Amino acid sequence: MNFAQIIFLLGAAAVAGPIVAHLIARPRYRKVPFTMLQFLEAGQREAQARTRLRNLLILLLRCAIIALVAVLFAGPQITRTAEAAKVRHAYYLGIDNSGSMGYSEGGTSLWETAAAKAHEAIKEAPADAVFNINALASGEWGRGLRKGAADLWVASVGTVPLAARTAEFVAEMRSAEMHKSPDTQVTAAIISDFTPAFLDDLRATDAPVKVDEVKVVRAQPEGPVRNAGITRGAVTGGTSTGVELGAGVRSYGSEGVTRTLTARIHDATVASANVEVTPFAERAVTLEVAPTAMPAGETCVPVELVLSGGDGLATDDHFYLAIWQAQRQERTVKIAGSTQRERFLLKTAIEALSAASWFETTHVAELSYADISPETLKGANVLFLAGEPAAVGDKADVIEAFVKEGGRAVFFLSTEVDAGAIEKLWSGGLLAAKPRQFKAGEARIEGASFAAATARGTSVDEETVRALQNYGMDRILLTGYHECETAGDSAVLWRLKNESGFLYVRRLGNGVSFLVNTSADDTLGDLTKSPAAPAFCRLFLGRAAAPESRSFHCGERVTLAAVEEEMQAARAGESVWALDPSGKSVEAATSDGTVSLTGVRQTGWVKTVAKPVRYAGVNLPEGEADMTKGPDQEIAAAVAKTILAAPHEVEQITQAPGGKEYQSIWRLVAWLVAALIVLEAFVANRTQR
Amino acid sequence: MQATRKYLDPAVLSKLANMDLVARCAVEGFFSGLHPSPFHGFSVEYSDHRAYQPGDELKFLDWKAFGRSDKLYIKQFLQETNVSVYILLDSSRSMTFGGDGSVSKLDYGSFLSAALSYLMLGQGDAVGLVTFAEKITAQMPPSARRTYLSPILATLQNNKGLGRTDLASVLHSVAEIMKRRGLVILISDLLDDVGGLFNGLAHLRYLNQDVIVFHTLDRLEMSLDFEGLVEFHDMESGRVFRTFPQSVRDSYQAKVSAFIDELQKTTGRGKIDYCLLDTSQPLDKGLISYLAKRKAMM
Repeated sequence: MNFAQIIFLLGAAAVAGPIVAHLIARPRYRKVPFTMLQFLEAGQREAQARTRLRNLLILLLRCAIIALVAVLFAGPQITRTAEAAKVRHAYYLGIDNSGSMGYSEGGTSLWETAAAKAHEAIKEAPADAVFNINALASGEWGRGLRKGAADLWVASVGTVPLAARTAEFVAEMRSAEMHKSPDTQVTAAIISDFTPAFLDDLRATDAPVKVDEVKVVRAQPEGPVRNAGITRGAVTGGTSTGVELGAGVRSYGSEGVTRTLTARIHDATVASANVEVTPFAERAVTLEVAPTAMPAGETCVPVELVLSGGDGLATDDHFYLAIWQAQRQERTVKIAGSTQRERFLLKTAIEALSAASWFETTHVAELSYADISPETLKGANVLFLAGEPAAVGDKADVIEAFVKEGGRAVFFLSTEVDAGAIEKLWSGGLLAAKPRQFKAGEARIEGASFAAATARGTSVDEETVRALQNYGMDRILLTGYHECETAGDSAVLWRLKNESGFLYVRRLGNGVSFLVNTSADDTLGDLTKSPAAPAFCRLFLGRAAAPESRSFHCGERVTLAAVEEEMQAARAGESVWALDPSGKSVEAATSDGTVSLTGVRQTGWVKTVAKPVRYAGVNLPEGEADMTKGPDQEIAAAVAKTILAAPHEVEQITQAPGGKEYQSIWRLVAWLVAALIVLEAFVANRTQR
Repeated sequence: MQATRKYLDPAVLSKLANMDLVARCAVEGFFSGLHPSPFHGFSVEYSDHRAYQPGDELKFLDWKAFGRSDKLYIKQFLQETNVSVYILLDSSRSMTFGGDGSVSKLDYGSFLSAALSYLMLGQGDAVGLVTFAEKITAQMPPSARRTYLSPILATLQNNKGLGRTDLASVLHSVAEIMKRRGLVILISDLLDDVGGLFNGLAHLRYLNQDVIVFHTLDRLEMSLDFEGLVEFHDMESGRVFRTFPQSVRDSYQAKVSAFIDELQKTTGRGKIDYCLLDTSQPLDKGLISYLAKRKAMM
């Protein structure tokens, strides 16, 4: 043992203090007259042996404490041979095995490059290094591995179509940093292609973990990125010509590409289109799938979008989705108005709407106000009223019954309204708002003020609302509006720019009543030449029957609508099974009318075992195909947000002559002093009697 | 009841200058706090009636009075005695120990002697008093005269603790002077040779004397509740002993307990009543022991 400040050892002389004090001190005895000395003497004889041992023990402990405090101040160091003095090395390797690492260049994938670099890092590490390796995308761990085992572990890992995540890797290092011994040097290395998505994940870390050394190993394409992929795919509408599929094709490289996008159902091509994509840009592609191409009798149809031609990454050239076919829907609309012009505008818009959809047919019939009766409204779904003359007031009861039974009534407020008719409609609870006074003058609709939350339960299609906002409703110039009083249970769905209500809604029985604070002329007149007019009418007709698509990303929870058979099995405590993209049976969770699967790690379709078979597409996570190479500074800054190189204050190791090294052991001595203090207190108290 | 019980408290009695007052307060206080009937009179000569109270012995019920009046009355009797009682009060120096400034064992013994004398003379017993250390320092032969209380109390009042204890020789001496069967009450801390003590007591028992031993000890003598380093001076021999009481306390208490146990067992075997008295406790324990013994002698 050696001492950094040997002078402090003189302090150990203080050990003599208690002993000298004991020898020279004259204890002060209190004189007490007493009677039963014979018992005292006998007791003393018995207790003496025990007391002597106790006193000796306490004296030794106190002397040891004083001596160790002196040793502590002197800076104790132990001498070790160079071999024994070696610092231990712990390596944390985070290897990106995400989908993007499947990118190939010249026959070698990025993953192969990353694995080779990992082997290189393992080889370069000191012989005693212990490796903890984390596959960042699949989350697999190889812990406490020596060199050979680490090489084997890396060789056993492959890529998965998931995004790389560093949270678990960082948490493990943080834990290790807290519990490591002082002479352990921690090195962290991240081997990755550092895609923008991965850099975002690195930047999202709350606080960086500190290690002794950080290595950033890049496994990126050597040349320009040569990759184009399908970014999205969904059903965008059902038209008279079939199902409309919307897809996004993006080129991630600096070269423009021309490819063919094909839609396939059950291995048969059902639609295709040529796509020309400019560098670093995304192109929206629409594929029309003819109704006849859709398999009859299948509620759910698996569709695979395939991008032709080869490039660096094959996984993003396929996109899997499932189309849920809509049932054909028929709807009857009655249009009541005083004049042919009022009715014409509405009729034209609705007929245009009906013609645009292959999945629904809308029958339109015109009525005069006088013709409104239970018989004429029988079978109708929607009743448009272009104005509120006195004749409408007389039909208030009929309209109220129609709405209460589930119908939808739409009142347009013309410039002049009949007060009597309004009063009758208002008192019956039909009107969502009661016009009080007409304000002539220019008024505009507030484009983005639609109260989507209020619209729930009214079958207002939010996509329609978004479409209307895109059409520019705020450009419609109204010639005037009514100041309205709202009912307690009515709500304003849309406002004018002057904060007055434009579109009111009120639920009545099973139906809904709308009030448009202007005439059909004012609105539809302006919109009649644009697709906005049918869209505006769509708002009142209710949600359109349209096919829907379902696709998920790898790692996401995949949900499918459950059928009664599956719900019954779940209630009986039996397992519900589904097939994952590899065709393996996986037990699915069932709740809230859905069957769900977690941890899907392969692209393709998940499908139910129970009939009818339902599919859901599983695809590469968003951003995983983006191979854009960031600059070195950006990568270094992102890594520094997660892992920071901050060499810790290892016990100072100094070189001694003869190939020996000294290492400070002050912590050990401090702990020893603390332990002896506790022991002394224990001995002094417990052996007092 | 609580108010009268305070007159049994040695600390209270020590504040009374007059020994007569001490005796009266102690006895009156004792009886006021006691159940009314158990120890009232042992005579055969009728003196009075009083109303029956639960706990009274049914043999004293006046059935004739009950027949006449439908009420329960107890017949009370005047006391007659033929018991001579010797009170032997140890007056050695060790008896003057009073730890924590409390009543010394000698004072406690004196109060007890005074109270017993008052009680006995009140009941017609003949009372004698012997004070002693190495040898008898004062001796008053038994007498049943009521006026005899004053000289007894005066002797107690003037008694000082001096000299060493020699219980054996004193007990043998007392045995020699006792002319007829009676009751011997020994009040002492018994800090003497135990063998000699037992021989002396055996001598008394051999003479058919009934014996009560009141072993008076101070609380500190039993607990050794001293703190810090203490130099103990033996009050009789003058020997000095230094120790750290905390370290020997357990052993000391064990020894004292063993000593008391031995006394209890040996006196029990010799049909001698043994009563350990803590000088910080009221006098009633001693008085009850006496009355119980006295009743047994009837």
